[in-house]
Amino acid sequence: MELIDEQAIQEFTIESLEHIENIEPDLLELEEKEGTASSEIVHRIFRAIHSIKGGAGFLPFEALKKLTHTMESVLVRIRDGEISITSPCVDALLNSIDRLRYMLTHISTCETVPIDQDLKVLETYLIQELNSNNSDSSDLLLEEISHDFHSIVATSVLKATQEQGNFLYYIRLNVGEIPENWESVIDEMKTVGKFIASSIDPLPGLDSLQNHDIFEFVFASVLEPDLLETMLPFPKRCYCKFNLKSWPENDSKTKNIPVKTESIPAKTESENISDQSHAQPQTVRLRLDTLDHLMNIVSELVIVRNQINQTLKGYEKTIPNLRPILQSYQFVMRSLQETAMQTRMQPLGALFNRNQRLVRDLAKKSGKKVELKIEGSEVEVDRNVLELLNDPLTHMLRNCVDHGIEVPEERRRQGKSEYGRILLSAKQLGGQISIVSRDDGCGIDLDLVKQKAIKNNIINAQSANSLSENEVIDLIFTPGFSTAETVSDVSGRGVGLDVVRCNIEKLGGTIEVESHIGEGSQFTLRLPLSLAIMQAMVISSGQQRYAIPQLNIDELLVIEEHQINDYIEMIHQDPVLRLRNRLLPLVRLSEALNLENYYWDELHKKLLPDNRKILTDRRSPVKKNHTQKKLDEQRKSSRRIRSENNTKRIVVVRDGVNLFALFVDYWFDTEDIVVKTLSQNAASPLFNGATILGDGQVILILDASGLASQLRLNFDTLHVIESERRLQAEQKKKQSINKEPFIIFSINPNERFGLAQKCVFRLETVNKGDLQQIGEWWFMHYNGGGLPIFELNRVVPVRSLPEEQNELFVIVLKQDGCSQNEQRPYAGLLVSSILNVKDLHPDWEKACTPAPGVLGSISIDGLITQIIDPYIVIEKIGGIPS
Amino acid sequence: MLYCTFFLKKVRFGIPALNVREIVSTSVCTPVPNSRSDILGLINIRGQIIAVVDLKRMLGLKPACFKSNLPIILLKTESELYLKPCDKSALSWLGAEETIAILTDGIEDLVEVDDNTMIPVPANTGSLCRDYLHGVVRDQKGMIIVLDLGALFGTDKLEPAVYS
Repeated sequence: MELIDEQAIQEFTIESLEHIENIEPDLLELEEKEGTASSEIVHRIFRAIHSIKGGAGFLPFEALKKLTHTMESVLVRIRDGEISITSPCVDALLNSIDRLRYMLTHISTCETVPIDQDLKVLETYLIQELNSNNSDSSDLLLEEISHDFHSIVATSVLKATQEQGNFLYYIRLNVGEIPENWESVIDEMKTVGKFIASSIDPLPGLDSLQNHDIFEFVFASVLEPDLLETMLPFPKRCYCKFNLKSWPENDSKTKNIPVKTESIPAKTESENISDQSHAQPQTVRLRLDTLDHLMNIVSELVIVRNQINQTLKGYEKTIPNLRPILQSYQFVMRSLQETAMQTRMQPLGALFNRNQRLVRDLAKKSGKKVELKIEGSEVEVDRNVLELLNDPLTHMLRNCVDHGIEVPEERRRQGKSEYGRILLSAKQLGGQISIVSRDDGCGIDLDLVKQKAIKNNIINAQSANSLSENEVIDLIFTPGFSTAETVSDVSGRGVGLDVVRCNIEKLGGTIEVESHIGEGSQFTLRLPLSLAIMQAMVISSGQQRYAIPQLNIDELLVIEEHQINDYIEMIHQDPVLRLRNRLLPLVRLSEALNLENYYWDELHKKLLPDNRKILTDRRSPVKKNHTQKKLDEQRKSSRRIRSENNTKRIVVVRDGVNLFALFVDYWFDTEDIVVKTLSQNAASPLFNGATILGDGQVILILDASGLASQLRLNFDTLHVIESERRLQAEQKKKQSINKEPFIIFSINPNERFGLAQKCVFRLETVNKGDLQQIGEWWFMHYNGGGLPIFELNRVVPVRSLPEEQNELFVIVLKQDGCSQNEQRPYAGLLVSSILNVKDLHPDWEKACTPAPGVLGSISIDGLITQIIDPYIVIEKIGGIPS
Repeated sequence: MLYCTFFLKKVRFGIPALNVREIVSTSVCTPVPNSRSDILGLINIRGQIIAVVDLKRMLGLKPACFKSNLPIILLKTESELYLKPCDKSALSWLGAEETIAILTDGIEDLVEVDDNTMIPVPANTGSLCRDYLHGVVRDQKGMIIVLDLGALFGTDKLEPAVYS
């Protein structure tokens, strides 16, 4: 054992664990697709298991080898179609995978892990009866070599190949046996060996294959038969290994091999396609600290670059060529920085896949049927974020399955499909990612939440009644809260969602919950893309600069001297900011930090000491000397002296739901800052890190919640939420005033249109037979006259009405600009169905198919709806026939 | 043992030279409001942010004031001490987890002193915080007060003193 290289073992375990990570989603997919699963997946699983087995073979891990070998055997039978894929079979394989994982993570004691149970289960699948007869008659095959083929194979080539240490295989396929993904099979085979000869050119000849009933070729590879077996997607009886001795003597010394070895598979475009599928980026394993170190060096380099830029700024004219050099330097540095950042990014896919298994197992355990749909697994996040995201995500999904999705009977009773759906999706929006988990379960029962919270002594009965909806939902994040009636091993212990929130907030993110009873709930996580670099605003207070994360900034306010009384009010001694119907506590940052007060002097363009203690003080910030004071006093009788240096800069800071206004001396730009952890010695709750600016100075990053608690801000959350709600209601009201009803209709299914209801006189149904075509117009009898009717596709590029539909709708329009009394039918628009009437806010996006008459498009219920102005359309087709 | 000697005011102090990573000076130091009072602030040493300790305050002297270009001693961290093979038994302190910077009023020299000549701190040195003093040695130039880095910056990692 000591002889075995520790490093080799370590590499083996890491690699094997990676394989296992890949196998799991494949197995799940296999189960999902059941009978229809492509052999590609089985092969992938097989290969992964096989490489683990291979590794274990080199190392003294007998148990591992045994287990993988048995799994492999089961997979062979699945592949050959001898046994079908069933849920218990996948279960057995998954359990074995778990066992494997356990063994690999406890590699030193893996030999003592009991595997008999797993072996036993797996073996039942080995002895299960054959699905089909499968005769192994490989040696007979050689005798069946067709003469035509035999004659084209040069024995000398075979001999030479065999002497190079290759095994020779004769492969013979009936046309029906050729797998669908033939080109990639050929390609894959080419990576492990080469084609010596074949009866027809395999690739371009695929079509001509139809004319042959069999297809023969000789393939040479260093792989032994049982290894090759894993590669070849055709049954064993189709090929055999042979020795040159057993190859029938070749009398005709054909030198002209019609198909050159190198030209198989011929270079066609199909090869390019399969090349792409093979072109997986090559990877190397790197130590994490090396990467972190690289990242540090790069960020140092960024700082040095900034210093160089600052130093050389003035010399651009005096030193020739300096500018282009600096520019290309800048460019190279930026791409270096981006690449270094990229090394830390990992796709969310791995994390999502891990949870797929979890959801499946949970659903099974609780007797529910759950379908997990994953979107956006390609979104990449910093690996630190990824690690911290694991727990919250697990808890969230657990919650979905356990509390959200109902049991199948219940779902059926409610008229939902038996399968509960959970959508897990990730999206990148600017510097943030949002992860949404949405289920169509029962939603959160607010009353139940209240009751439980009272029962668990989280709130008392009186305060429960005064809670708003949001606050009740908020209760589910309190530690010790659980609505589950019984404690299961899944959930119910009251530890869960508080962990979610805690972890998310640690990452500088937020979590939102939306829930409708009976319809399901939605959890939205918003996270910064990277912990290492974030957007922050550099502000100044008390002659020091600080950074405020952009995430925490709600808005910036500049209050001019004459506006001060409109915005700032005093409640006793404490200033408050009046901001759009809200009162926000207003605090001076320098006070929180025990710093001197300064102000920005526009005249001198620098910060000068400020003597005013009260924010609403509008006198000059500087103490006047004696003579000046006298002068002021003289003037005082006529008017009060006010200083120009009174502009107030206020940052509205957001800490969760709480807002407060921070009065700062000055602000600079928003920058991408590299976050460095604060030394333990200098730790302070006010800051959550430090960064280095371009000029090399260290500045501290302010922590919003630390600041709030330092300033002893007592947030009455209820009040804030209440006022927020009021604001929202007002906004809604305002919006609905501008809203107009629109009729949503379609001409061909999936193509949706809308037109303002005010243009519509009536909606009518019409039979195709009742329409009469005259020229380009249709006519129908309406109100004792003929109503001209047109189709939209005369002007707007849309598909025409479905031919087979007999009963159609006509949107009868009234004349444009007519008063109420004069309204009469004007023209009709022929459509296939009327869907809905919606109140829409007229702020369209650009039209998908810009055409005269299309005002724009808007998304309604997830479908793009194009808004039509019928009058423009009529005008375009030359007005209505008189 | 080799000591690095430096001044706080006019007083000569010494710390084991093995514990010293480098001596730097910077022009700016960013104060950290609301943190420990014996932290002067943060400095940027080639991209690394390091907290500067006010040793004078820790020792009970009049608190220091940061001035640009005063020499700052950076101490080796635990991992840095282990990075290069050296005689661990010669160390009185195995370093902290983070780099520590000490603001001084001046660096003097490296002095080789026979540790056997080290004597305990005299009983009447009440003006300095005795907990942080390890002993006193003499060389040609006079007395050196040897500091107990373990007591100053990390007690749990302290190894018992190896002096007799």
